[in-house]
Amino acid sequence: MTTTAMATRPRLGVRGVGALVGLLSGVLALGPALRPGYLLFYDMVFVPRLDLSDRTLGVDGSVPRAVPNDLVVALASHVVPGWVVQKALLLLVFVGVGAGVGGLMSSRLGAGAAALFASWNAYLAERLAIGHWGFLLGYAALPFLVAAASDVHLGRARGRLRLGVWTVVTALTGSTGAILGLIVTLAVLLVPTRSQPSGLRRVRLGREIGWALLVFVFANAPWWFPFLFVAPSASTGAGDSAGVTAFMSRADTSWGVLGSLLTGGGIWNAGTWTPGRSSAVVSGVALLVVLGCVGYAGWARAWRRSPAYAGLAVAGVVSLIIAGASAVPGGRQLVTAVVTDLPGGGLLRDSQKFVAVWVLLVAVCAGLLVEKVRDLGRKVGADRTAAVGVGLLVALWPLVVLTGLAWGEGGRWSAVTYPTSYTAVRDRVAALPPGAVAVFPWTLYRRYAFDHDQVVLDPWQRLLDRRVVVNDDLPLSSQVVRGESTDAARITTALERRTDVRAALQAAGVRYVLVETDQPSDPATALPSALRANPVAREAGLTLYDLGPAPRLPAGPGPWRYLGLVGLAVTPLLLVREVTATRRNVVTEELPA
Amino acid sequence: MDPTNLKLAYNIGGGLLGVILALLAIFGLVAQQNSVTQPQKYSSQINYDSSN
Repeated sequence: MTTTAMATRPRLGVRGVGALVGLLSGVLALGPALRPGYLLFYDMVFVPRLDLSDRTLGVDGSVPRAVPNDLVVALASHVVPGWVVQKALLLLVFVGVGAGVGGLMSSRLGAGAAALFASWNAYLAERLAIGHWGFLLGYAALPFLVAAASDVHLGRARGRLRLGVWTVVTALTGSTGAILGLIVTLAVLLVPTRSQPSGLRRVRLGREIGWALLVFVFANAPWWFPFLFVAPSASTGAGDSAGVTAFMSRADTSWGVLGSLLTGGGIWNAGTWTPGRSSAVVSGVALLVVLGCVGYAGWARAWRRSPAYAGLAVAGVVSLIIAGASAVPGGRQLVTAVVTDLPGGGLLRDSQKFVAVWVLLVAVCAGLLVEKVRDLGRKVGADRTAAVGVGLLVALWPLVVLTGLAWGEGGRWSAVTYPTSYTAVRDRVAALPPGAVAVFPWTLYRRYAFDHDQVVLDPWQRLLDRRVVVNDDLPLSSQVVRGESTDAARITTALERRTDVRAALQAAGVRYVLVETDQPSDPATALPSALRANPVAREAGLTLYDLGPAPRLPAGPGPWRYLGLVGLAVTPLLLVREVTATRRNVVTEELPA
Repeated sequence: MDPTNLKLAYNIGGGLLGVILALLAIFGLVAQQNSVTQPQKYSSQINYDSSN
């Protein structure tokens, strides 16, 4: 590169601008939540140090929902405290998605505008509010995957390697990110371009798709392998059809399910809806701007510019249809059949998560619209500052229509520390003879005074370094969605009948019972007093009982249960092989004819 | 339209847009305050979809 070229190159490229906008969005959105301490609400549960247990590795026989993202957290939390890992991952969502969509734009203004919507929208706000940080990391990786798949589509050097690397990164964020990634990868690779593929190109495309699928299958083995072979009871009946109805997309605005989804909202859990979106005016303006952005991009035939845009357009629309399918007549029955009858169909439950790809499409369209506004100004003779200024004003629309996200959703998200009693009980349990721990009250969610009474998933499954048995039924205000654990179901039945509770617990390998005495308890499923005879630890809000040695349980699945992790371990070899092949091709191309 | 008028219209349009966005942001903040509900803190069962 010449000195002149280096001198004229902007200091901050499109990715840099996108990352900076994402970082500013992240700081503004998280606000007080960035203070030292843990954010504990809904499914957002981090602990000081997550152990590398069978559950973390996804091989304990339960549904591998947070695999392998929990593995990443476990490894990181052995180096730095869990709260540092949590804050770093959350900020990474904002910075990553900003940099990712910024890289899909051709100007810094467009990159900033696209990054602002991608890092400040109802999808991100609601998924953050419910604690689905793994989904969000997957969402942040998607634009990089789009760019890499586009490079492969165009036959650019090292495109395959980049696609492989980003497929692995997306896999590390968990099953949802991986599935979304597969959708965008296939869409970008398969989307027809202006030059109709010749026979040779078709063969090349087939090879590239094969490569993408190969890396996908190996990189994602840590969750699909145990899902199909280690937890077969869960995979064959992803629960009851009530779950489909309970977790289908819902209208969080006055504009129906479709209007809510189009603006990135529509999550099923009303408790996580962003304040302010219930206003018909605010959400109506958001809907109009979204339609304007997409309408402009359609009118400008933006999809013709690159396979990235065309593929993202196809994937975005497909994802929107999937997200809204369960909310339209006939669609619910179809989704129910898929979820309950097909292995892996449970991934379609809580279908609003698919709207992530649509949100990225809107972000790119917003960037294009802002670029057009600037160009229009230049065309009518406005000076550069004025044109860019008006463009910047238009770019701010995501902030205006979603003020509720600012400053930790108005202070709703605040960092807390676990009480010392938790550390004491954790240490006490670690020193006790083997045996699983059951946690009471026999329900999955808590409200702790130290956590400002926020609803949060019971943290003891992560706090303890041994098997923890909980009631995995999901209690909702309208119904209870049954969980997948057969052990938990047997214990529930015993508790309700008030007979053989000890036997049911011991049959599940439980030796210890931890009772959280500061939590509301349903007398119908309370721990019988006969089982409270031998307390071994008593701390503020916590009492630990020993039921005596449990009978030896039959051995679980053998070492073959780790095969999924072996699959992930193989992917670096695939990538190294690709690096070697790329180098060889580059050398061959550089040789004189 | 005369190019000077076009330029003027663009600048005025940009200014008006700024005012509208500012008013909408204020409206959004007020709407946000109004939509905040006091969550139910204590019940015998804590539901996944209870408000925080």
